[in-house]
Amino acid sequence: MKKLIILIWLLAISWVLTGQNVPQVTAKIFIENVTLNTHPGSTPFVGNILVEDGIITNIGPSITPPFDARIIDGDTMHAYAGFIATLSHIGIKEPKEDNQRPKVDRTGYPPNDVAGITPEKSVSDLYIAKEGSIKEYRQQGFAIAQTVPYGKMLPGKGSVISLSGESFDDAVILKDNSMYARWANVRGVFPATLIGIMAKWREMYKNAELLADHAEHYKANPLNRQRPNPDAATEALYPVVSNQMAVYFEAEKHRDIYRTLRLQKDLGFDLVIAEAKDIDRIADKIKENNVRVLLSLDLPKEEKEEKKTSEKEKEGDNVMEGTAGEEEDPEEDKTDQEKDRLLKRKKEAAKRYVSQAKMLADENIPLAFSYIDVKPKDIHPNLRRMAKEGLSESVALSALTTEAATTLGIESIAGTLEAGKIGNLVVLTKPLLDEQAKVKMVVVDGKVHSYDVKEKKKKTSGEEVADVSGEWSYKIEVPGMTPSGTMTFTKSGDTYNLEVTSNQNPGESVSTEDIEIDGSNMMFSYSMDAGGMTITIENDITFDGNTFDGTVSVGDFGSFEITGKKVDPEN
Amino acid sequence: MMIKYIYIFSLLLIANSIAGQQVTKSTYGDVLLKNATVHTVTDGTLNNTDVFIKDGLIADIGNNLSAGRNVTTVDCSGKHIYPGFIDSDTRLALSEVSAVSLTNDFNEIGDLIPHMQALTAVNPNATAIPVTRVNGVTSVIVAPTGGIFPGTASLIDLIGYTPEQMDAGFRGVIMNFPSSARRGRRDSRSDEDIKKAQDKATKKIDEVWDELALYHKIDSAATGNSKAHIKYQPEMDALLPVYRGEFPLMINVSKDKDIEAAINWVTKKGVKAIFIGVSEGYRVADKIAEAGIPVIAGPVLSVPGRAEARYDVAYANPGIMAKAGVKVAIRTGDSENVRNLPFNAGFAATYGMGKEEALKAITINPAEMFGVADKYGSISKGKVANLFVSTGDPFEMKTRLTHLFIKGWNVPIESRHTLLYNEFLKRSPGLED
Amino acid sequence: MPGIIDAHSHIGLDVVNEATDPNTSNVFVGDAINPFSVSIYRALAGGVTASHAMHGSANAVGGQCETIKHRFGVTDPDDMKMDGAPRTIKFALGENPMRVHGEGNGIVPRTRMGVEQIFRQGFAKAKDYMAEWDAYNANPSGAKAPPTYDLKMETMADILRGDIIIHCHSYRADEILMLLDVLGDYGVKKICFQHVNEGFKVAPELAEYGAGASVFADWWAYKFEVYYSTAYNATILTRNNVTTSINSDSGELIRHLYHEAAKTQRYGDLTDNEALKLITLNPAIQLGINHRVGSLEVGKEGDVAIFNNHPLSIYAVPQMTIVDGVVRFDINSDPDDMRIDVDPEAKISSFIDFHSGAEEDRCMQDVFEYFNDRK
Repeated sequence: MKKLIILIWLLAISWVLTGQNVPQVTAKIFIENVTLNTHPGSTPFVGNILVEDGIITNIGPSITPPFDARIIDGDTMHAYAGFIATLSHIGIKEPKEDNQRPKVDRTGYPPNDVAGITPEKSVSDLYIAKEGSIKEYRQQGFAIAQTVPYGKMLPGKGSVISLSGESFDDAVILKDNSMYARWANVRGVFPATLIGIMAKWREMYKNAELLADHAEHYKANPLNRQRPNPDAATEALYPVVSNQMAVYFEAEKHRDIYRTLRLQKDLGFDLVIAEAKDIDRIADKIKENNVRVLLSLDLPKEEKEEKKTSEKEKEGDNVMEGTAGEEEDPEEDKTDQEKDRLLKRKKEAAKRYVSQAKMLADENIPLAFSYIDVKPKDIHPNLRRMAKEGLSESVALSALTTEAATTLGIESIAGTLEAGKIGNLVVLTKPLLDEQAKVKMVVVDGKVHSYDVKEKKKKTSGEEVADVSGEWSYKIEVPGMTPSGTMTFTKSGDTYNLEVTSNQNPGESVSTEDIEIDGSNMMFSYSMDAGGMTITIENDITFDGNTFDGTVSVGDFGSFEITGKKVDPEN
Repeated sequence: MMIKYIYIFSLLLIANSIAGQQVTKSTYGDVLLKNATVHTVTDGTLNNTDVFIKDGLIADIGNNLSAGRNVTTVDCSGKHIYPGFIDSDTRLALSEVSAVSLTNDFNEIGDLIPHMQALTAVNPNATAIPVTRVNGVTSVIVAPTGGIFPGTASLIDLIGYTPEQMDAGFRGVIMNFPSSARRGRRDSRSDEDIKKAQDKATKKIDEVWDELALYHKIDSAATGNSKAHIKYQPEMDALLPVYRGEFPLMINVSKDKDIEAAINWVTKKGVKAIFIGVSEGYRVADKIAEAGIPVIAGPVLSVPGRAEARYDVAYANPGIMAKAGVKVAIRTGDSENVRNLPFNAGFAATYGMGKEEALKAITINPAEMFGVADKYGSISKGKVANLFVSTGDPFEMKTRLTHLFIKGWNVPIESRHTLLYNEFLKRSPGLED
Repeated sequence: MPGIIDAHSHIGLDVVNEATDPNTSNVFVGDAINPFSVSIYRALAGGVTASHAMHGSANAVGGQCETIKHRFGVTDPDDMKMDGAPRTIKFALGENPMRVHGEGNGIVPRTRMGVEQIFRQGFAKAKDYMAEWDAYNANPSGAKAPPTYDLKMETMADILRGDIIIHCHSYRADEILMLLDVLGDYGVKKICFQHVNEGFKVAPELAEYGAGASVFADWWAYKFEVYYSTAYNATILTRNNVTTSINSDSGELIRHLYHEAAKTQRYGDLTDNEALKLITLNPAIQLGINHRVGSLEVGKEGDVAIFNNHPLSIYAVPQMTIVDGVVRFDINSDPDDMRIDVDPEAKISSFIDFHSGAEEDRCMQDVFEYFNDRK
């Protein structure tokens, strides 16, 4: 249904905007008067930076531009090396979750691909240049990503790509450089549990070792030797068993991480632990085993202190309406204390999760991040939450740049602002961890991507924020047609659930709970699957009584005006 | 003549030793139990006291009672007499082998089926009956399970050849109060889904009650011939005695908030209720006491329902409620292992309830809850002779029952378990083929 | 008394069953230890200091098990393991493997005949497998491609070599005799039958083979294969010189194994010492750890359970439980909330109605998760 709506929009929009890329008259960029943060921990200085043909060619406090450069004013802005997403699914379409039990002859012996074991799979066959996630990540300051296929136990091999380019070959930096592994299984076939996954690893690994060894002998002298006949999955593990390819093992929680370390210890592969969320208690073992760690940027939801009562109702037991809860409760004090105690434990746990980066840094464990679970728009807010728990800017920056580059083995070409490195940089309105920092510009391979930065509307304290619950009609001003429909807001705690319908496609709807409210301003977005790619529809609207107006941007297709009014205004 | 007797006798022996399934017949007659320590429950403990069983009743209690003609005298010196235990919620005799679904007769299809009668499905020959009673359990509630109103429960004595013979008179309609609890660690329903299901069930219960009120009005107004014109309404017919306060509504409810909601509902509707399960009663004990609703707690041998709860809350729960002033009975909720009732009571006793209260919770308290205290629940003159003689404290593991009487029947201390023991302790043939 | 030992439990495990094949000897439940499980603390509160964390009974040849010490408080799953305890493996006879594989997946075994062949096939193939590797290793020229490394066969071979103790879920007398026959044919000696409800019928045969028996105190009639059971099982086995223990197979029962052992005094006439052995020394023997634990002797590991009354009395309350000399349960000083790990994303508290039929820490846990489209 989502698909139908968005296709209608796309038809309308692309009719107007097809292929209207403005030709770029120069491949030289000169950003001047920008505060340059060349390395994590380096002293920032105001200066200029020159990027030519996708390479940083000069940087310094007083360098001058060549005559044919595009000169960009970086005054009051802060420049950093383009960020590197160490592990992600960027540029790959998420397949539909299929939780059906596959039909196989024997559940104990399913074909590898049915069992989620496809280490031979390559991103080169899955990459989509127009995938919405590429733009989304670029907008958060990312220029390079290691991206891996979706899947279960062994989804496939990762590649390092530039977040720019018209095709995989255009974007690729390192092809098939890593192996991606997970504690995930297909339902009802071996391995159906984590103990099955452990067994499968042990068995496949041993066979890959044996066969790789035999293959080497055969290569040296095939006479009088049986021809090795490995299956695709086993053969794909050869570079892993010979330690030429690291395994990026997704292991969020404490026990998963221990199990991953156990496998690594038993089998001996090069290990990068990814998506870690609860790892501080294992710091010693991490150091001892000398493995790399990628922390998840997906943090537990923030508990809102001031909303104590409503929060408690949400967190605590459901109270039956009209029965318990309304009555005077003489034991309220006792249960309150108990709830407070439990809430405190939960908050402590949440705090510990947010403090993971700081705690690892304190242990001198090098760290970068992984980007499997996190939503792109949460990256910067979550970094700031980590900073509040003590994460320093230099560690945060190194995790986004130099450590990420080192993990991927591209530190010689990316991760810092230095002459000779790839022309990837991000320009922020404020220093990296500043609450007000916004991404103004991202340069990838020397190509400039600029973003409108709106000043945050001042919220007058004490301002009564109107309840916008109810049905609103909207119109979008797309040249040549006017998509319209309704938006229905339903109050949910201190935010809303939203359901959007389109008159162009009656009977279908999209809903989202992902709404940011700031006074009378509201921003929300939802992703849509449209003919093979994910498109993000971003709305930024301001309410004024019974009307609203604002902009809506649709993927790569541009921004349009949107207006709306309350369908059935009371009074 | 003699030969014939020997022949029959040997046949009986063979039947017992080889088949090992059928227990010996109970016998009926007047019995005088001499010189026992009598734990009456309601009138204290009497030393060196005789109990006279006649015509199925406790005919007399006293010192030096004399046996008349045809009275069997049993010397109980050094032994103890207790009233038979009552398990207030079981599936005994409604299920033979729980994993074999066709032997299960306690869970009928439908949400609103209060007219399903547990007594109908009681199998008087269930193997578990002798197994249960040899631990001193002489009466049990048999109750259906399932939807909102899964049926009507009955109190039965554990002796008889037909359900009617076993029927001890009490009826109660079972209700499962809408629950907001999770059904297991892998119950992956969202909070909203649980709430929705709970609200839906609550609405249904209220609808039923409104309709029931109307039915009561119509039924009360109808006289003579007009009664015949009332539509066939088995559900409402089954609920009517509850509405009129003739039967209690036996409400399964576990979680603290659900218990509070159930108290409010019961109070609002003015229903005579008994709560069953009530595993979080310890969290709202004062409220239950204040509402004056009796509770059938258990199984005592359970794990806490919350990960953060103290490890022994299930053991301590009956005691906490009793101390708060709630009338507490104890159930096993079991089918084949109802025999563990005294041990459930024993754990409750150990974890705060005390022996005396725990004993009441499986004797006089349930008898009072079910309105049969004139006949059951204590060693009192005139009551039904449901009692046993033991070598000591019946909660203690080493204690043995030596005699068991149900409705005056002298029941052998035998079950499949003892028969198999006798046959296989020293197997013959042994190893040699 | 010595710390109580449970020879059959599933507590402290994130996974119990890999139910995808009648033979899953390639998996180890030791890989799935969850040191945070509150069930471990609750077992400690019942005086239990060690347990045999077992794979479930979905498969004829189940996974390998782990003997754990209840060092509740450690966070490294490996610290829960009882280092040096002999390897053990779960086998299962009768209804469970028949139900899961025969009825559920339409493959052998659907009957007890089929169950037997799973074992025979496993052992026979393991012999071939060993021969194949011996041949390959004898001629290291590298001319032949290496045989496929098969973890199942490796395990079966280790059983044949006598390196692993079999713990076999079983109920009926006939199937117990069947396994004794199979093991006899392959010269496998180390066997302890689990549950073994009809063990009393074949006690002389068990004693003769030297097989152990780890039984329930009084569970019966919950399924057909336990219909002809007796709570006197432990007594009959003991009196026939079978090394017998009483186990829990349940996160609930494990909290009062002392009470379960005491049932042998109501159902049979075991002495105090005999009854206590059922939950201490005898399970230690069955797990091959009796030289380290299972009795209070100088030189043994410091696993002690302290009660306020005789542990076989219904009025006994465990007061303190010590594992390796460390107090892991103290009735007077432990807080109510003993969770080590709090999920920051979960509700602060949630109530589970276990009486509504939840299967927790039990033999068939995890099975129907994977097969619930059948139910």
